[in-house]
Amino acid sequence: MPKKYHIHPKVTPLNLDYVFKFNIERGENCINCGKCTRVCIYEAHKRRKDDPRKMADPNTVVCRNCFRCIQECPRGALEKSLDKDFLNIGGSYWKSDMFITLWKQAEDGKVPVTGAGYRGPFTGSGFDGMWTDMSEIVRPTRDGIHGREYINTSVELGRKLNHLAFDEKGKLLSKVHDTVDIPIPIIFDLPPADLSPNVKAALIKAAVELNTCIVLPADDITSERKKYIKNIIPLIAHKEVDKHQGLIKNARIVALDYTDELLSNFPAVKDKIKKASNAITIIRIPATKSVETIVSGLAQNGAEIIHIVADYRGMEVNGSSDSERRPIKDIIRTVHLKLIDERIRDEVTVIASGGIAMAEHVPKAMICGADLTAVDLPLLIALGARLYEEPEKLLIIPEGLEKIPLRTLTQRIINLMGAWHSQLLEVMGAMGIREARRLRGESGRAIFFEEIDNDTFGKLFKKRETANI
Amino acid sequence: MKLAEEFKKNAGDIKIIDKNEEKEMYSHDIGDVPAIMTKTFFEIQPDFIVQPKNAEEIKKILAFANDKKIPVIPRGAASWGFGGVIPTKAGIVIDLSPFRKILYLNKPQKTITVEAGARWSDIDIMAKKEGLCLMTYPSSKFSTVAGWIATGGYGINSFRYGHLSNQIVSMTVITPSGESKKITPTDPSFAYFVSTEGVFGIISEVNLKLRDVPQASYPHLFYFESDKAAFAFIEEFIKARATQQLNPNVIRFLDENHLNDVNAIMHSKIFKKKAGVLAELSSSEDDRRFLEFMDKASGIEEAPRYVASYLWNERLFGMKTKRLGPTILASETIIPITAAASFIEKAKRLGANFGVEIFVDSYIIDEKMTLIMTNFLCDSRKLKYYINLPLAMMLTQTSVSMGAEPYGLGIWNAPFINHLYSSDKQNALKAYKAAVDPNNIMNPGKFFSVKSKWLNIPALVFRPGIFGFFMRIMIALSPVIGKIAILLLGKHKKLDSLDFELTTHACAKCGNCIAVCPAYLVTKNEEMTAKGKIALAKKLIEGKKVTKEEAENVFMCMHCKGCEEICQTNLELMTLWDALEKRIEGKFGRPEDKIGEFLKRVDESKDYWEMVERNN
Repeated sequence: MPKKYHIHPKVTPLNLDYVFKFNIERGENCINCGKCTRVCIYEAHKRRKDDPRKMADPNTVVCRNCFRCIQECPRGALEKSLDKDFLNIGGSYWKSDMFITLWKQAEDGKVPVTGAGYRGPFTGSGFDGMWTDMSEIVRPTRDGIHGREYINTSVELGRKLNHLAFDEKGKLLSKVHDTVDIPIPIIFDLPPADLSPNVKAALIKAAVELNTCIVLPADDITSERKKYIKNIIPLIAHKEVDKHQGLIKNARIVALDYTDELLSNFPAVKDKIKKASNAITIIRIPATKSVETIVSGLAQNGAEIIHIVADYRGMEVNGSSDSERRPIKDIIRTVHLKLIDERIRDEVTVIASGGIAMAEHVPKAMICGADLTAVDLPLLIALGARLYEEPEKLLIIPEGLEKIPLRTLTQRIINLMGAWHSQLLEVMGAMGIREARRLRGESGRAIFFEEIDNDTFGKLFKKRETANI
Repeated sequence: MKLAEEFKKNAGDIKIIDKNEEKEMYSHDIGDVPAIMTKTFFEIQPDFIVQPKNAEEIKKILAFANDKKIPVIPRGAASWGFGGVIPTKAGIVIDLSPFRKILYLNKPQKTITVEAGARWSDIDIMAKKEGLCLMTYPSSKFSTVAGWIATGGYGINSFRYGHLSNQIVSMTVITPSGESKKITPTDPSFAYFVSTEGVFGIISEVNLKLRDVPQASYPHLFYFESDKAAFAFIEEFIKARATQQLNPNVIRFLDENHLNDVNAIMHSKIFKKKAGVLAELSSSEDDRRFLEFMDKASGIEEAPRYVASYLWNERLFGMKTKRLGPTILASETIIPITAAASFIEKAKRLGANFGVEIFVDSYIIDEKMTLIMTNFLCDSRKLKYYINLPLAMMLTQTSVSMGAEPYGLGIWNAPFINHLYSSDKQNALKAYKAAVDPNNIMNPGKFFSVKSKWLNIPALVFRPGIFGFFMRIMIALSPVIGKIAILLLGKHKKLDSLDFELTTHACAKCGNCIAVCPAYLVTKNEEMTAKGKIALAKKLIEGKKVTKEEAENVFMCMHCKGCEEICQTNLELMTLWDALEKRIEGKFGRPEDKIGEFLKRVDESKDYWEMVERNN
């Protein structure tokens, strides 16, 4: 059995103000009895350092909404409300809670509980319309996610043969293609934002330590970053392949931006790359309306890996009106099924990205048919970035981030991935799947709300639930 | 000191207080009698103080006192102002204030058993959780049960339910010889332990009657053109009461000066400049009948309901007027209702002679009598105070000469004993005293007759005959003496606001704060209460020597604001503590370790958490 893959989180607070969910206010009628310090298990309530006879202002950042202090205060002196900043952040896709969760995960690598019982809704659009199989839920609870069962989360990138051919002497005729193994089904994708050098360096460093890869525009790969080239996927325009021979030479994977030309001349471009090295190639393609046709065309033409990029909310790009745009989960399913229909599914690796916001989105995207995912914005949220959807997309990088030590930033990204990895193990354990590779396309291991709703109630009340979502 | 050491030898774990600073807290009561006076007459500093936890400990103390033939002074919240708890010849103060557990509530029988030091407020809160409440209670609701039994016994709801003694099912008393007995109102000796100020023994446990929590509270305030008109109405009302089934819980008279002072405290004009009668009823049925009656007695002006409600809710904060003082002197007697108006008239004239304004508060206690308080504002820091003090006596003298009886004796009212007890009664009391307390250890030197230092010569003044004679002369000469005093010392001007110093003087020492103070609950040290801290602040202001140890007590405070919430005088105590702590910190530094220990002790105290939850 191979050595277990472990991510080692370390508590790494980031000394920048971040959004918190609750505002607890201590009223004038507080009698400083200290009951709240006794009942709060998160240490939101403490006595003042300078005068321990009096209570300090509540530390709301750590509050997990258990309401014990509110309930137990003998004077009813504590009041709790949702923070204004919290209510404003994000939008319809990036829910405010996600920011808190990601921030917490980055802090200690643990999976935060949201407390107080979830009262629904139990379905929604996109990934929220999927329920993963929990029939083996006893496994993670019985064994612990790092327990006696070995769950392998590694995935392979590259072309796999449909079948092997041998000559009559039993000698292998087929040429087995090169592949790259990564221990988690996640690579990093640099979000389009103006990032300070230490942030970029941290992302690279984290990718190295986690033994995964990061997609980086060729221009960003400065000479000092070149030593990490094994974990960097240079993103280059296919016309500039010649120009970047040096980079390609040492890389394990390169990424090309898709253009229509590539559809026909990919073999020629691939040949050029081969001259420099055995690097395998990703074609990065936006999740447009007809993306499945293009993917199929590319795969027929020898593409090894295709990276489908949805918008930041996990929606089809260039689509017309909102209602007609497909969410990434549907796009991947269509692509996956089309490739299966054409019997070439294994010949191409599919990476899904855009709107991968929570740990659960990784296995869900894989169930829909992606081999792995690329994650972008959560990496920045882990470092304190705020995202607003309305009135238009706005990403705010916190002030002073450029002064934070590289180690702190790196560790926070590692922590985040640690938390995601733990959740992946938990979900897989609960599904009874021990190999991440087996997760791909296992749509039988999930319930798709729209389908089941339609099957059950479709004839009776069409559009009832969906209209309310 | 020697006595304390000797007692300690066999005391077991009885809590003993014998530090000088702490002893000082036990050498006075609510009354603002200058220490110079009390100290001249008496040995007011006790030898030591004990805080017993049970009857056995009380017996032990009594045995020791009998053996040494030293006085024993039982003490509750010390919120009564006639010197009942002030030692006259040192001795042992038995502080029953921490002996305050509520033992048992019998819901079907509607009774509650409590320890002597239980606070009326705590009982009420506890009982209300079971749908019951107190029948009558004193206006200082944070005082102790045994304390009120041993003193007045008339208060809020007395008009409806009568004297407190009617609500005692039984009580356990410990006689000076150390015999513990449970007595009921039918026992012949019962009367010896009610309103007798601890001269016959110590009340250790009481079983009280409770009543169902009433439907609601319906207070009404009526205005009258004169005090006379108000009392005429009250007389008429009482006559009609039986036939028309009028059941008010309370009928209270407040004169125009009193209402005017309330206006002054609130800096507004809520009350008219008229005499007022406040009545409170507790069911809609009673209220309806009452209002029907009032409709028939046409021409009586009723104040808006919110005004009546305000006055009613303020009934427990009678000392608020001290904010205009900072001192109040009062005379308290029980006078026939028929004589009340003319007494007030005389009292006001007498007050005017001395340049003070008399304000009146009176609770009708039954069909014939009313408990009347004639008060006036003054300033204990001024020379004129020495003229003001006898004025309070003159008011009592005037009242008793009109058929009133003093509301308790203590030290200062002892000269009026003949107006409270007939000579037969006095002889009976004396005989009982000789029988149960041959060594005369129980609260001696007051009540029957005042005993003082210096071969008892100063106490001669307090002989009823001599005292009465002097008083009558003073009253007769008051137009002259008063005028001279005003000419030399000026009239009293009401205060507008309180600064640091005035706040300390405006404290009534009523002890409300002690009842709610968590620091006291845990440490049983009065120095840590608001009352104690104000005493310390006064010492600082007066430039007296303050030790580091006693000063550090001010930091032993949870800042729960409990004292401020229930302060009778509505003092801005939290601001005061900040200022006081700052001063002490500048002088002695901040005892961080002690504060830490204190917090730990409070946090670990079961009693503390019970108190926190009780007020939930």
